[in-house]
Amino acid sequence: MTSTLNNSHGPSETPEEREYEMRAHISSIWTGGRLFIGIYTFMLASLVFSYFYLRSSNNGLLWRPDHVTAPRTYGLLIFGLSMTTSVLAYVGRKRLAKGSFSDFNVAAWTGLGTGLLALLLQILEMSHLPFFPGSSGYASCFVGFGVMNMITLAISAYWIETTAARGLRVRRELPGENAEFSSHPRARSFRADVASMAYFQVFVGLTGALLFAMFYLM
Amino acid sequence: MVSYLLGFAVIGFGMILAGFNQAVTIINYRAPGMTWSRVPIFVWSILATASLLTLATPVLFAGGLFGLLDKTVQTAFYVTEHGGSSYLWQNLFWFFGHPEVYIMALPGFGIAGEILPVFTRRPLFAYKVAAAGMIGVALLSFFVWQHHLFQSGINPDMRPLFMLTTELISIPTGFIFLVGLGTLYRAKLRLEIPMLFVLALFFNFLIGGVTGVFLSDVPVNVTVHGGFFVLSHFHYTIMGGLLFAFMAGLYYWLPKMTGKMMNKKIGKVHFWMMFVFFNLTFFPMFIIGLLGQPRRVFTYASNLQGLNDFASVSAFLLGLSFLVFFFNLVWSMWIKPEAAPANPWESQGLEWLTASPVPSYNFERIPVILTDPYRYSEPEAPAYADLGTGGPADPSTHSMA
Repeated sequence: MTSTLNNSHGPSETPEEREYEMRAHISSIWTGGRLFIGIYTFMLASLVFSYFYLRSSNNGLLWRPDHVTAPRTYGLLIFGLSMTTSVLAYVGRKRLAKGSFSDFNVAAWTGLGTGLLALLLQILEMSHLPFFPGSSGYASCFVGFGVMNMITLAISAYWIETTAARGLRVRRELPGENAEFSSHPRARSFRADVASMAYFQVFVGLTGALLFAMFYLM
Repeated sequence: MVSYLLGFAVIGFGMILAGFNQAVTIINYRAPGMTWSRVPIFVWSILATASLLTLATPVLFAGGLFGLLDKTVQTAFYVTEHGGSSYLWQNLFWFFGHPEVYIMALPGFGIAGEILPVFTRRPLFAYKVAAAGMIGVALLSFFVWQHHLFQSGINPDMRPLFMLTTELISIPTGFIFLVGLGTLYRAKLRLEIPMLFVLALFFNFLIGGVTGVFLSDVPVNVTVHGGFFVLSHFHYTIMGGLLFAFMAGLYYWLPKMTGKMMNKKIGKVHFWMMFVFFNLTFFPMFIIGLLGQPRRVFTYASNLQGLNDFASVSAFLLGLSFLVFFFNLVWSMWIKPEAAPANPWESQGLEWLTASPVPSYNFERIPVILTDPYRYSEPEAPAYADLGTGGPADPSTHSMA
């Protein structure tokens, strides 16, 4: 937790001030998590806009020639693993709220595994494209989607890993406390982080479904 | 080109993070008692700006990423011959680009709104309208980007829609302007240097804003496109608005930041030079533009030579006014510094309740806000904040909640 008063020149904090800082810190995690989703929405919206803009322009009838087809097996696997990660993060958060840290722990580390596997498959898909990246508007958007998905999956994996590791640290550093319900600042901060992480994973799952439909089914 | 795009991406990333930081801080770290109706108007302007930074810049980031992919892995986002479209870049860029104008302008409005009550000794007229106006400008700025493409091949049927949205944005902007005028109405002005810059801002922005309403109109836009009229309008809004506000803010807050006052005499020379030569530089450009002068040329038609020369000479003198400012800065900060009192402008703002320069810990205790920020005309008004140090009020009577 950061503190505006924690320095050698100012006086030490009162308990009221510490509580104020703690509340502001928890709220910041809540606000920051949702604002991050907003940032991501606008970035993905640029891709969606580009997709439909080039599709409706169809310059030189080169939106999507017949030979340009997306590799569906890769797509299905990546989408399936991403969705699994999202569901695991959501379920993990729910289980933590109900008091089961071990369930959260299993869900988080499993979710990290499926997320990293999805990232690996996305990299493989990009390195084995069955068409030239600049062969059409669709091909360009597909490559853009692939790169953005790699960034998204990497961010997801990082957030899950740091949250899960933080959970273990909280358990280790607060042996007598219950991370699920404790009012200790570290435990409260950890739970707020889990909630924000889970919301982001749900967002990734939902947008993943939309983009999967756009690029593999439409 | 690749390094240029990478540089843009880094800047864009930095802008997103800055906006993110500011928005989260304003929403969550307001001092206890600082309800939304007690937030200083400058902070409202920064919140509106931060929302634009966080939501508009990702589009620029994505547009840059597509450009980078075009240059490195041979995609064709912007290559029309291969199924892409160069207009796509224009759309993505201007979706960010027009909010960016307000990213620059809104803090200027906030500075003006913060300074006006101090030097008129009056409450900010219609404070809530000003805050709503800033949020309104921020929201509407996402719906106007196509007016930058009126001449670039936009579907003609779309023009009236974007003409309408562009004209709509003049309404909240006008609210902010009227809030300023309402505060000035029948006020006893203290013409200190920050106030002079704010008054100049209102003069300049009126001209820039009104010509903006003309330019949102498709026939006028198409007629004067690519000419000096647009150039002059832009400078009257951004330089006449933002830069004058920036100078007002510097003269106003430098004593708080550095603990030293800026020299008033040199400051006034700087102000009058900047104001006069700014107008002598850019006002003739409206006339030159309407007479047909295009941008980005280095030769002028013989009938426009005189006015162009006049504007050029004025521009050099405008540049000279900035040297006067830098001279004042060096003079006041290092050669002949004059210590600034904690509150040289008799402001009621929170930052003026602590020492100048501000200690590293800001306040000894987290202050508790007790009332509205601009109660200048009420001698009986309570202090703005309880500093918890035996100052204006008893700390034990106020909760941190």
